[in-house]
Amino acid sequence: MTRLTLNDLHLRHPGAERAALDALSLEVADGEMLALLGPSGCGKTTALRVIAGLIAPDAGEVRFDGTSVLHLPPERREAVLVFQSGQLFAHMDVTANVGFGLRMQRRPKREIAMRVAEALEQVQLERLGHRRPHELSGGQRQRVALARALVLKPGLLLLDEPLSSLDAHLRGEMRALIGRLQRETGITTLVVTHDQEEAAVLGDRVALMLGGRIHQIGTGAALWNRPADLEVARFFGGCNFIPGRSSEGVFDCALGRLALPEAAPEGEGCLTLRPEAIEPGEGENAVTLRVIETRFEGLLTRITAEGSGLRLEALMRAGAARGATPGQDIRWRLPREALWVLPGV
Amino acid sequence: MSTRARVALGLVLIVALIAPLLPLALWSVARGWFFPQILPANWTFAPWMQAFAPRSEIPGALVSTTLIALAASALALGLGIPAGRALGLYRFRGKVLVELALLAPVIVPGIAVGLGIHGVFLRLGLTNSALGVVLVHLVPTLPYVIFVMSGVFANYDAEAEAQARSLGARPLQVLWHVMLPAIAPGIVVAGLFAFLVSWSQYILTLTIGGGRVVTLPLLLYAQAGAGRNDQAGVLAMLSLAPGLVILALVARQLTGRGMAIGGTR
Repeated sequence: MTRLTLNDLHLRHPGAERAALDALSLEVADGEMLALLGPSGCGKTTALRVIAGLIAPDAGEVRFDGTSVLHLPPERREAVLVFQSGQLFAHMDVTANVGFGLRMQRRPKREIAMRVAEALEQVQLERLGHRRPHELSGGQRQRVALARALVLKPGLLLLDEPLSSLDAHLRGEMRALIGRLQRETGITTLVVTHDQEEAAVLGDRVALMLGGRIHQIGTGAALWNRPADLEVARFFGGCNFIPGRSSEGVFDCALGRLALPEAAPEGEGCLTLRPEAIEPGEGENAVTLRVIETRFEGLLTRITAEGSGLRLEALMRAGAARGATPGQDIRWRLPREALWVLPGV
Repeated sequence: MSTRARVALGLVLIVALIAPLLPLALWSVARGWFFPQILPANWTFAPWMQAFAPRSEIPGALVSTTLIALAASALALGLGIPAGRALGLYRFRGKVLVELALLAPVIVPGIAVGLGIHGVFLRLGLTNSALGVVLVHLVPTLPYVIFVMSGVFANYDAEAEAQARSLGARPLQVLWHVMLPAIAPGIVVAGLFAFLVSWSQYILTLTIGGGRVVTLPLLLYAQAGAGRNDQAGVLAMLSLAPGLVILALVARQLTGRGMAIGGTR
């Protein structure tokens, strides 16, 4: 398969104020599934189009297996892009859609028929070959689009928000299908999404893209719990930021001295911890706070509490949240493993 | 609108459209039809026989009208599809001006346009030739094609082309396998419009063709002017034919449903 390298890509759309790609560098290993995560407008779809060859960057390099492909038109690149909307050709039935790429290569009819049947089987649509796109459900359309790309056995598969047009109950199914097919085929895959959960489940690694460049790459858990900077923490729903100083495994701040996990960055900075990591009760790193507000959010309850002029937010399950009423003093434990320091913030 | 009202309106339309044509049709098969007779006293196919007699100009005019209309509509499509694509898909500076300029031939009288172009064509040696007539027929036909096609392209998703490229299609393959099938119904409608508009041109054909290029409308005016009602009737019927055929063929595309006229759905 193909190893993808993006090197210092720059791109500004004509008339746009901000750059869509700003020194974007990224490496996707051979056979890896990398989730490119970011809010809408962060440039992630633009990045996919640059890799696919549909837009040329202003500067920088796109390499497949170390060789620049910038001079190649999209049809001659080893990458296939699956559009967000699926983009099935309305005037062709499912079989013709899936066979489109092979027909463009002028493959023999028999080979096309065989490979199309195989691809339809992979996405469990063997029986729907004669249907037209408008006769398919959203999930089926997305699967046809996937089969149409897979049938070409590309070196690199680019998926643009493959689940965004699906209902919630279909997403899980499609997610599992994409994951399984990727493992089976071993095709290097770059999947773009704005959904953190989707990125964490789909990607071997997750790359968080903000404002046209990659802020952090790592496993989903690393991005959640060990954010590299304030923006990454904020993107993942971080809301607790405590200024102070980190040194020798402890953090001194208005709440007192808190024990830090190993390898936490040193120096002046901001302590962050995820709201759902906070636990009620005594123990290491326990602090006293006064409840200001509680808000019911379905499965979890969001509790805002204040102490020493600092505000903390916690997300707790109904059982743990019970008893927290505004105006009351409570004890919260900030588990050492859940703490992280953003240096220099 | 109630069904009955729709049927009534349909009937009114049919009467209003067809009634004026009836005398022409009757003239083409009448021998001696004088006031106050309501219908001709004698029926005959003589005018038709005469029209298609060996020395008649009509068969030749029929062929040249058809060829000129075909060539003009093909040329109008060739120019109008890319122009319609640009207008339908993209926003650019001065787009409104371009659209206005395209409407201009509809506003400016044909005779003025024809005389102006005549001067230019004279220098280019295009007058008195079928080629010149074909070219000048672009003046009224091209706007139709462009407006139909820009409407088609306004509803066209060019992302399908990007998808096709990424799936391995070369630009020409994209054109043939993705764009043309998607806009084919629009091409048919635009082409038929262009054909009919060219088919019924009189002033422009006369000014540029200089009487050397003889088409049906030219003969029709001549015969009507000469008081040959029987030949004018035949020519009128011939002129009507492609319009009726085309209407029957594409009624569905034009009106968005099966019936061309009338009420029942």
